[in-house]
Amino acid sequence: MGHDTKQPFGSGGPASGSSSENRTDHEAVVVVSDPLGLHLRTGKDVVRVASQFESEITALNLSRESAHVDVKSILQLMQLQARQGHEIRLVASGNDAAAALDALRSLF
Amino acid sequence: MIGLVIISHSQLLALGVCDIANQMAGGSVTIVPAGGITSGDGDYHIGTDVLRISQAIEEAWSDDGVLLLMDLGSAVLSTEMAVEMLPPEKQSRCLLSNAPLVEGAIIAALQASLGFKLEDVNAAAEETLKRPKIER
Repeated sequence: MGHDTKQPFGSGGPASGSSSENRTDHEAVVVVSDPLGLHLRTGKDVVRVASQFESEITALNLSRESAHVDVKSILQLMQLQARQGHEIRLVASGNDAAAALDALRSLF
Repeated sequence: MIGLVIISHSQLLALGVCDIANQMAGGSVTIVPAGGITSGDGDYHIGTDVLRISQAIEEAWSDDGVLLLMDLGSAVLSTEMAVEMLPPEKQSRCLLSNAPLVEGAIIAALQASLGFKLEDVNAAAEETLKRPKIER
């Protein structure tokens, strides 16, 4: 299985927010429905799905005023400390941004 | 897809880390524990066993390489010795990770299951050194 052209996991920084290229930012706010919150087991599914898209995808826990995290990184996702009922803002930037958000929405 | 070896002074700890890592990888990555020392007559001790680690590397072997995660101290030395026992072409495909055992294994398992290559999986695992658990 050759994945040499794939870039390493997540960029590690906040979304640039600028749309200077063909990229447009898409946003969605989701509410965590799992009674256990966004934990390791469900988090990994979010990372898996996000990693299928080339867009840069970040998340922010509106209920805790967290920092922006890279959704393709499980460690950063855990830093959201998202519990049931928390509101998470997802921002996707790139050619498949809309599709990425559609796919991610259903996981919360 | 790379393989992972989990090396610890404790057999229970190695098994426990594998437990979590397997869940992250969804069963698609070979993750092998190598923890504690079991002597010939079945006595178990806390510590690291070069032969056990060597067997674990063989079990976890993949031509894409094997990432070795260790707890601390002698685990590193024992792992280095186990790698040195391999033929040269296999040695070059083994990578000892500087990542913390638990967090590193979790990230590595997930990244490995997504098909990332050895050096990139390790880079992701080692990133955990820079990230605090708690924002202060």
